This record gives sequence, structure tokens and C-alpha cells, in this order.
Amino acid sequence: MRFAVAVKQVPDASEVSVDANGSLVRLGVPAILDPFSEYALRRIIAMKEEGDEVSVFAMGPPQASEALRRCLCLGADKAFLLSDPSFAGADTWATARTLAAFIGRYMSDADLIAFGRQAADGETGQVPYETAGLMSVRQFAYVTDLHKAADGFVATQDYGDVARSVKVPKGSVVSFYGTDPCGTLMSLTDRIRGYGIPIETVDRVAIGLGAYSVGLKGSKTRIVRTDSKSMLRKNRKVAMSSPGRAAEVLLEELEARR
Amino acid sequence: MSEMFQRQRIGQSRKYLTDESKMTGRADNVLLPSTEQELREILRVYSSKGTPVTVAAMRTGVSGGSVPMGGDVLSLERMTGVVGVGRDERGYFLRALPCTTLDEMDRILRRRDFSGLSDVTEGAADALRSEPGTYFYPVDPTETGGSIGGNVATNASGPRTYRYGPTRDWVRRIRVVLADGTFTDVVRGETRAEGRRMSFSAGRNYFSFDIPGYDFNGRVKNSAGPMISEGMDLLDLFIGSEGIFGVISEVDVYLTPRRPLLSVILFFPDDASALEAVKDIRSDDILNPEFLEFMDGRSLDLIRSVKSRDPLSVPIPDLPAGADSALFFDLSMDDMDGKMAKLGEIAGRHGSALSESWCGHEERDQERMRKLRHSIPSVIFEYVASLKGGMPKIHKLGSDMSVPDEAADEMMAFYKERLEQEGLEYCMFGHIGNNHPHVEIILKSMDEFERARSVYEEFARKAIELGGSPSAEHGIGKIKTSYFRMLYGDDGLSEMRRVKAVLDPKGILCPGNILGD
Repeated sequence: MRFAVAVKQVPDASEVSVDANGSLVRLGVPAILDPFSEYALRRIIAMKEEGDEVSVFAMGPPQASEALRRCLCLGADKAFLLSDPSFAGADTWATARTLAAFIGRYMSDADLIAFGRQAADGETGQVPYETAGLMSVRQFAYVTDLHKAADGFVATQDYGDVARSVKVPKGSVVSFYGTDPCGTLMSLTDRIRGYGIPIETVDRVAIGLGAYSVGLKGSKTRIVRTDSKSMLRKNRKVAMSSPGRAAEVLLEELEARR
Repeated sequence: MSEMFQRQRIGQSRKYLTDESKMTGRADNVLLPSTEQELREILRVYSSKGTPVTVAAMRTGVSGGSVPMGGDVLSLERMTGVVGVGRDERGYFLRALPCTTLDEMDRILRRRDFSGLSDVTEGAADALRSEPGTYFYPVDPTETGGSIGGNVATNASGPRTYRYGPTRDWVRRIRVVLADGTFTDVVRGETRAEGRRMSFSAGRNYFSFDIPGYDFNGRVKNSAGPMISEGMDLLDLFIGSEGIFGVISEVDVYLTPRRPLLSVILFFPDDASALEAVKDIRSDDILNPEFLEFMDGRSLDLIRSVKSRDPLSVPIPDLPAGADSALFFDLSMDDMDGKMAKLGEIAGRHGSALSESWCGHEERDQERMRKLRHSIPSVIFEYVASLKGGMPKIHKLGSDMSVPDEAADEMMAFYKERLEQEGLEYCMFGHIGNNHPHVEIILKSMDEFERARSVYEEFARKAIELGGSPSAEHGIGKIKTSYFRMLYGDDGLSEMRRVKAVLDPKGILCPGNILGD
């Protein structure tokens, strides 16, 4: 089987801080393979059998090849860096369009296209859905478990309040839920193998898109302003041992506000 | 007249009465100077009254150095922050107040955030900011929440002492406030003893005294008091003196360029194989690791056991099934092909393989590997602290002995033999590159505690007999004063007391540290 896994390089969230003006301090902050991407890749690698092939691809500047290198060390077989100055400033739509075009040209026979739930730096979580939409294939979100079946795959989707098992046809997009809090540590053998595989760079022309379909020019949204929001909640938590007493307190509160 | 410094009653608060040794002391008040002037005023007042003060900062020491034995606690916690950047012929240095943590220094250096810092030498901050890579303070005494003043006072060491030496090697200058409130700036190379006669002035005072007649053992990793030797530098009298001669109020420490590093943990089928591999790694010119740490099979089992109860208690992947011993080290990332070939050879020779390893060059990977290594003493610390309720006199017991390379096998065999004879449960981990593993006994009763103390005395005696140190990195503090006497004898102890009597005639500074009662 052929698997395609979309990954992203992001700033290491544990190293990011905010300065006095509310701006992100990026200087000295290392870039890492997004933990959501890494989790998705690990789940795919865990399914890999003899004869299977796992390809990873990332859109980003040349230094994003570091994230792809890590993927190769973790067990991916091929890596593609989608890098072109015109890709800069892409919103989720332009990103999905670029990824869909790449998959169409380079991975059209993939049995499965996998994503992380979201990227740790943007946290929109829209790209997997938009990519599936543009490719006109089915999309399965919140996947916590996936295994091979006779004519495709079977996924477990966990929405928090409800979980279900569902058949996933070949060629679908899945997005895995979660990250691994204990992380991944590769062996030296894996590292030597990963550093021996070349990374192919793919530009805009190679995927057949016009300059107005990608990057900032191809984006449907514009960032007009960014604000720093306080994360302090204004609501009050009332802990009560008795439900009856809790109800009374709530009623008193509501009465007082009426 | 009201005092020009802040003093608070300690009352029931145990915070100032203990440190990471879990030893508990007694004191009436805590003094909290915010400036050097306040610190000097405190010492002037206390010196005239003859009231003892025990200097404390972050209280991360494990030998009880900041635990008070009466009098008041002098906590430097408000004297914190990096204040300047400078450069001399050796290189860049940071100037910091005593309670600045190593974490804080590292944060500033990583982000090159030198705003608000003074240029100790002209243009130093701009020059350091413009360097192609970042710099760091390489002494890594494991506890990065510890203070730089405390590190200097104890001559702290850690894993990276293997490559970079102890704190002493990185101190450029200190400002010391003496017991009577006068102060002096001590810069390396500026004041040396003539033979064994040390002379210097501080304010209007002039001191001249004989230094002890023994020679500090510099052949091994050693933090047993100051580095006494003929012609010694005055700076080395204060470094490692654990506050008994003066209080450090400012420190300059040198920096070095940060290099990209690959962290590696190589797993072995047993401890003997891992220890044999140490010799090959240490003698190899290509590998030249930054540090070389050991985790024995019992330590790995301890982590497995903790993780089986709570997988996130140590946030690392599950340990490989056949891993019954491990070596942890960092390699610089030049000539990786050569290093991998060499490491493959060494691993193969000792029952391991490159596939039986973990590695990573990203900070998060390296942090996970450090977590594995550092969680071993943390788990034991927490366990000992949990026993304090039923056994208040119990405290952590860990060996801190180092020996020369040629004596390493004999010392390791001695540890094993005596612990097994006594039937004590233990684990062994730590700085094997410096022949300095920590042997930690998993105590279960006061009887075991007393037996373990006696066994540790034997370890200390054996280490000294083999040309090593009974206190390689944790200092002497109050817990290991008998080892200091064992190392230098009654004469050495008396000679140190005579130095103390010159610099602190009323004996107010840190009573109990190094010299005992």
C-alpha cells in the first residue's frame, strides 16, 4: 500500500514566549516537526508492512526539510518539500489547494492520505477537510485508531462524547486526533537510515498551479490585525458537595442578575 | 533606630529550614537583603552582635549547606538577575547577582536578550548579540533551578564536568562581602598566595594568614572544600568554601559557543557490558563526548516501575524490553559518519547495537533523555521525603565519591560487594565518565539508614585510599563533615579553622558547614 502523510514544521511551543507587547518571541526558538504531524506519521508507520511505502510531504521554506528529515528517521520512505517563494503567506485554503495539487501530481495512487488534527502553530484544523474537498474524496476526522481491512481501512473516530467504528475507503483523507505526550525517540540506526534518503523539492510549476492560486495571492482570507487575548476567565467556579445546595446558589445568582 | 534591611520571623514555615538534602535545621528569622548595601549592613550588625547567619539562595543543595543550625537565615533570593555582559582575552562573560538561576542565565543567552544589561566592557553586549551562534554557560550541575552564587560557593559540578571541568574553571571574578560587612572584588590571577602565605585587603582591613598545609586533590572530580595549594589564587579560597569565609554578592562567569549536539542513550544487556564500553568510549579520540552518564539495571527498573503506575510521571517512551543498563552521552555533530562507525564497533563489542539506542538532536528529544536520567534521583528524593513523617531523622543518602580511572573497577566492585553483604537495596547512576557514579540506597527503616551511613563511611574511606574524593560534586555541607576530616585529618581541619578565625573571627558565617561543630 502507498501512504501519504502531510506534515508541517512549527516553532517549538514549549520554547515560545510572549514579550511585553504581546508579540511572539521567535528569536532562538527552535523549529520542530509538528507534534500532531508526528503522531499521524507514527500511526501510519505502525501499520506499515513489508512492501508498503510511506511518503511524507511538507509545504514550507527550505529549512522545513529538517522536519522531513525527522520523518525519514522515524520510518518514512520518501520525502517531498513543497517550497516556492510564491507559497508564502498561504491561508488554509491556499495551503489545501497546494497540497491537493501536489497529491494529484505525485501521489494520485495513494491508498490513504493522513494528516494530524491541526498544526500546533495555527490550530485551525481546516486543512485536512479542505484538501479532501478539493480532491473530492472522503474525509475522516478525530481518528484515534486505524487498521487495514480487505477493501480499505477501518477507523475509530472519537468525538469525545461518542466514538464510532467506520469503514474508510481507499484514497480517503484521515486526520488523527491527539499527540503523544511521551514523544518519540529514534534509534541511531533509524537516524543513519533517515539521513541517507534524499528529499525531493517540488515548486509551484511542478504541481501545475498558477501564481494566483497559491500563497498570499491565492488566499481567501487576510490577516488585518492580531490581538493578544487574556486567557483569564471571568466566570466563577462554585464547588458544592450537595447538588441541592449548588442549585440554590445558582438560583440566587440568577435572581440577583435579573 | 530601625534596621535598614528586612527581617521576618520564620515561625512554623519550614521553607528556610531545609534544602534538597531533606535535612531540617532551626533558625529564628530570615533576612532578605535586596541590595549589596543591605547585605553589608546585615553582616555588619550581625558581626557586632555575634549572631550566626546561614546563607541560602535557591536551597537546591543536597549536603545541607543552607540548612541553619541556629541564628538566622540570610536568604539572597531578592538579589537576582543578570546585570552585565563583558569580554576579556579569554572570551565573553556574564555578570550576575548571586541568586540568579542557571535557567535564567540560559534563557537570556538563548534569546540574546541583553536589553537593560550593562556593558562591563565596552560593546560586549552588541558583540555577543552579533555572534553567528549563541553562547552558553557550560557547567551543568543537573539542577538548573540552582543559583549561580550557590554553584560558586559549592564549586558545583555535573555531567558536563567531564568535558568542561567544574564551576571553578568558569569563574572570572566574584565580589565577596566578608563577615564584618566589608567587601572585596576577587579577580582570577590578581591575588595569589606567596608559597602558603595569603595576603589581601578588603576595605580598610588587611588580612594575612597561612593557608592549610594540605594539597587539594585536583586529579579527580572534587568538591571537598576550597582548592588549597601552594601559590593558590585567592579566588579559589572562596570558591567551594560554602559561605564560611564570606558571602558572594556578584559573580562573573565565562561563556562558550553552543555547538549542535546529538544526545544518545545506548542500551546494554547488563551493567558489566556498559561499564566496559565506558572505557572504550572514554579512550576514543573521535567520539570525545560532552559527558558520559551511567544508569544501571536497577535504575531502569525503578523508572519502569514508576511509569507502570503513571505513564506520564516520566514523559519518555517505554524503555526497550532488553535494556538492563544504559550509557547516556552527547556527541558534537561533526564527522557523524566516523562517530557512528566507531560507536557501532564499541556497541557490538559489548553486547549492544546501534539499533538498541535512543538519539535526538532536537531540544525536546534531548530534554526527554535528560528527564530519564534526572528522574532517577528525583524519584528517590520524593520517596525519602515521604518517609520523613514516620522517621523525621531520615534524610537522603547518596554516594558522591570519585576515583582516578585506574581505580574505577576496584571501587565499583567494592560498592557492589558491600551493598550486597549488607542486603541493602540500591541503584547506581551518574557521572561514570569521571568515575563518579551515585549509589543511592532505597531506605526502608531507620535501621537501614544507620547501616547505610556506616557503609557510606567505608565508601568514603575506600575512595580516599584509592586516590579519590569522598565529595566529588555535592560539597561537604553539614552532612559530610566527617568525610572532610577523613580526607585532610585533624591537622587539615585545624588549619582551615585558623583561616576561618582570621576572616570571620566571631564565627558567624554558615556555622557547621565544612568544619562541623
